[in-house]
Amino acid sequence: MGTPDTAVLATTGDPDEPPTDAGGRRPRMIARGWVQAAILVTAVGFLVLGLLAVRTYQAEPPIPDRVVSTTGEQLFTGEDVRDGQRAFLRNGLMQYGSIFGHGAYLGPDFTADYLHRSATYVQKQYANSGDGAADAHARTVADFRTNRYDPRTGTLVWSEAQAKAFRQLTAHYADLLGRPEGKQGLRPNAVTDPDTIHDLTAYFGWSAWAAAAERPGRNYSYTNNWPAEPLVDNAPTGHTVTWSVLSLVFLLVGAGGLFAAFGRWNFLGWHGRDQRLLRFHAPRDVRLTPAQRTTAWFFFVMAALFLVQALLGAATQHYRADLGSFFGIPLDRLLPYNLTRTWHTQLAIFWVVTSFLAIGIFLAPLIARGWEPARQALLSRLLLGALAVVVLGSLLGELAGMRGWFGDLWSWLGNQGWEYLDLGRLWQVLLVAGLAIWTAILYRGLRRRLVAESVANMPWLFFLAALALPAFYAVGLVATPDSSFTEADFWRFIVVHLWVEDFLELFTTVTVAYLFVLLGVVRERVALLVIYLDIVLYSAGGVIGTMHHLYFSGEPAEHLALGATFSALEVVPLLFLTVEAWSFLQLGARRHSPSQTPFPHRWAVMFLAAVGFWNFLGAGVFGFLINLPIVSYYEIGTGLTANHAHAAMMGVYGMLAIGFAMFALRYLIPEDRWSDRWPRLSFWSLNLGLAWMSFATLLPGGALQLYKVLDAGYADARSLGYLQGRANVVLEWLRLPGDVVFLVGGVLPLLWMTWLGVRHRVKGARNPDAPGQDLLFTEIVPDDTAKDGAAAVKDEATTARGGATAGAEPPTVEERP
Amino acid sequence: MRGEAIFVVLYSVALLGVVGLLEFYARQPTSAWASQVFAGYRRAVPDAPRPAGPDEWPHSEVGRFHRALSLFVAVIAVLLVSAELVRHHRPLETLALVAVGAPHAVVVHRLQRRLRRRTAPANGADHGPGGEGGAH
Repeated sequence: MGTPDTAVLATTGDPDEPPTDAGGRRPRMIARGWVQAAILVTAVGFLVLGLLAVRTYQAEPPIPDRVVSTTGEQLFTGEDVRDGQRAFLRNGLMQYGSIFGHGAYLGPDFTADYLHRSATYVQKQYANSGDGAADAHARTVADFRTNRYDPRTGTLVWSEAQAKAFRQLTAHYADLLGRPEGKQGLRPNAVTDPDTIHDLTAYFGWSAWAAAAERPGRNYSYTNNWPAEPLVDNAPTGHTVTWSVLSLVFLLVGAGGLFAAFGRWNFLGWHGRDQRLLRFHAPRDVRLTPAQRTTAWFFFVMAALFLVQALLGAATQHYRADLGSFFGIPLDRLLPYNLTRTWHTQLAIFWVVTSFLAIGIFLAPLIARGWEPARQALLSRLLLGALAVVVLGSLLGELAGMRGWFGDLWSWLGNQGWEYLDLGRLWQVLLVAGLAIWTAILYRGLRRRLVAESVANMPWLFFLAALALPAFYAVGLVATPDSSFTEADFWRFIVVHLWVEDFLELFTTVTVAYLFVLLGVVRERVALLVIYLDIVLYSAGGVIGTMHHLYFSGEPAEHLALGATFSALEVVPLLFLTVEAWSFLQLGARRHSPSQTPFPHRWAVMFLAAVGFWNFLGAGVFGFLINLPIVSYYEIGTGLTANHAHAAMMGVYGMLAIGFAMFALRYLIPEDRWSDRWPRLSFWSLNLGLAWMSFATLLPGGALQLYKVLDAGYADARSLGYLQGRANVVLEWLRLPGDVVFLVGGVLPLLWMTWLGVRHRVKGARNPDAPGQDLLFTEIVPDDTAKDGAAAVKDEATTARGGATAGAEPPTVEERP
Repeated sequence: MRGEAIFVVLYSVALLGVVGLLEFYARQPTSAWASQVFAGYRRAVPDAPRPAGPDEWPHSEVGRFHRALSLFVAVIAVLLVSAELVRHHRPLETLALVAVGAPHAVVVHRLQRRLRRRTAPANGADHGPGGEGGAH
C-alpha cells in the first residue's frame, strides 16, 4: 500500500493544476489497496453480522403459547408475556430495572429477581414437604433446568411448586410496582392494574425460565446460564470461560503484532518529516457563509441540552444516594427515576448529535472552498427547528407515555421504552428524516466539489460518513415493542454500539482529519491514510464485536464466542489509534512556523487531546475491564457498566462535540469578545469532574457491587436493599463535589460561550458569488524549498487562484519517510 | 478489621498506582517521534525527525493534564480514607487507613506545588502551530 496509482493521472499541462482523470475528476489520492481493504473488511464484517442476525431469530428463547402447571391449570399465555413486555416498556421500567441484565441500575434485574425469589419459594416448599426434604435443592434444580417446553403444542409445563411461586410473586410485584408512598424511584402507584401486574409477572417469569431452562440438546440455558444463581445451579458455561481466555490471547497477540508491524514499517508514512511553514488567517479575517453563521444557534442549543442532560444526570444520581426525597422535595412524584434516566440517556445522544450536525454544516463550505448554494442557511435554520421539535416532542412524549396519557398510541407518540431507543416511533422516524435532510443539506453544499473528486477521496468520505449516520440510526426502527426481547436487543445494539461506537467514530475521524487538512497542518494523503486505517481496524473488530453486548440476552453461544473474540480485537485499534492520534495531533500542532498569526484552535486541540485520553481510559481500559464474558457474566448491569458508559460517552463523544464547538466558535465569536478564560475553565472542570465521577464513585462502587455479586449472588447485589446500604450510599454522596465542578465549572462556561456566539455572532457573511478560496490559512511552504522562497511564491499564486489546498497537492508526491 | 475498611485500604492502594501511572506519563516525552513504539523505525531511517521538546505546545500541556488528573485522584483517595476513618476507626483500621492515606496526602502536597510553580506553559499560553502570538 505504497504510492497512489500514477497511471490513472493526467495533467492539463499546467504544472500547478492538479491532475485529473479521464472524467475530469481529481483522481484517487491513496493506493487502491487501502480502498479494497476497507471495502473487503467492511463487507465481511457485515456478512457475518447478517448471519448472526439470522441465528438470532433461529435460536432465541421461544415464547410458549401457554404455561400450565402439572395439574393442567393455565398460569399465563404467550400473549400475556407479550402484553407484559409492552407494559414493561410503556411504563419505562427498562429505565428503572433490567431484563437479562439490560436496562437501568436502580431497580432490580427482573430476570434475576424473579429467578432468585421463585427458586427460593420452590426450595422452601420442597424442604417443608414431608417427602424428600433432603432432595430440596436437587428437586429445585430439576424443576428449573429441565426444559418442559413442547414446541409442537406450544405448551410449557411448570411444576406445582413453580406455579405457587408464580402466584406469590404476582403479589410481590403488585406491591413493588404499585407502592402508594413511592420512595423507590418510581412514581407512587406506578402500576396498579391487576391484569397488568399479572402480565408483567408472566414476562418476568418467562425471562427467568429462559435463564435457567436448558436449551434443547445443550447443558446450559438460553442465556448461557446467566445470571449466576446457585439455587438452580446457574454457573458460567465452558464457552464463557474458554472464550474469555482466548479473547485475552487474541488481544495480546493482536496488539503486539499491530504495534510491531506499524512501528517497524511505518505503513502510515506520517512519521516522516513533514515540516511546512504555515500562515493562518486570523479568525477575524475568515468570512463565514450564511449557513455557517446559523451554526451559532446549533451550538447554543447543544450547550443548553448538555446542561439539561447533566442536571437530569444529577437528579438520577441523587436517587441512588437518597431514595426518599431530593433534599426534602418528593421528586418521584414529579420526575421519577425512570423518567429522569430516560431523558438523561436520550439527551446524551441529542446534544452530541446537535454538535455533529453543526460541524457538518460548518465544514461543508470550507470543503467547497467557500462556495455555498442559495438558501442553505434557510435550510439549516429549518433543520434546527425540526430538531427542536423532535427533542421537545420526544421528551414530553416520554413523560406522557409513561403516565398513560396517549392510550393505545403510547409507542407512537410516547415512549417505545427500549433503553436508548426510548423515544416514540413518530419521533424516531422524524429524527431519521432530520438526519437524512442534514445529509441532503451537506450534499447541496458539497456537490460542486463532489463531482470533481474521486469517490475514494476526502470530500466523498466526509459525505459518505455523514450518510451512514441516518442509515444506521434507522436500523433501530426494526426493534418495536412487539419484537421479542432477544430480537429487539440485537437491533438496539446495532444503534447503541455500531452507530455510536463505529459510525460516529468514523464521522469523527473524517471530520477531525478534515479540520487539520483545512488548517493546512496535515497533508490530505496522510489524513486519508488515517481514515482508511480507521475503517479497516474498526470494521475488523467493531462490527462483529457488537455481539459483546449480547452474551446473555438469549443469543446462542456463537454470538458469545465471536463477540468476545472480536470485541477484544476492538481494543487493539483503540490502543493503536490512541497512540497514533497523538502523533496526528502533533502534526496538527507543529510550531515551526514563523507566522505572525497565532494558532487559533488551542482549545479545540486540547479537547481533542482529552478525547484521546478518555478513549484510552474510558473506552479502552474501563471497557475491556468488563468485556470478557466471564467478567461480564458477574458484572453486567452493575456500577462498572455505568463507569465505562460515562467515561466513554462523555469522555469521547462529549469532549469531541465540545471540541467541534470550540473550533467553530473561534470564528463565530468576534475577536474582541473571545477570551481563553472560559474554554480553559470548561476544559479543566469537565475533565476533572469526569475523573472524580469515575474514581470517587463509579469505579469503587462498581467494584464493591461486583464483590457482592460473587459473595451473595446477582439478585442480591442488584437489590434496592444493597444500593441503600451505608457503604454504597457514602460512595454515592462522594460524587457530589465532582458533579458540582462538572456542572458549574464545566457546563455553564460552555453555555456562556455559545451564547456569546449567538449574541455577538460575527457580522457580514461571505458573498456567495466571491471566488473560491482557502479560508483557514494563507499559504503552505514546503520546508525544504522554503529557503529560496520559490515555493512560497507558487503557493501564493495558487492560493489566489483558489486551487491550492493541502488537499490539492499532486498525488504523485510521496510523503518522505 | 471490617470489610468496608479493607476495601477502602485496597482501593486507595490501587489509586496510588493510578496516581503513579499518571505522574509517570506526565513526565514522559509525548512526541511520537520519541516513542519506543517507533524505535525500530528510527533505527531504520537515518534522518528521523527531531522529537518535539517537552516545552513545545501541546506537549507542554500533556504533562500538566496528567498531573492535574493525578492530583485529583490523590485528593479523592484522601477524601475516601477520611470518610472511612470517620465511619470506622478501630485501632487496626485507623492504622491501615492512615498508612495508605499518608502517601496520598504527600502526593497532593507535592503535586499542587509543582502545578502552581508552573502556572503557564513555558512557551506562552497561545503557542500552537505557527503560533508566536500572545494571549487573546
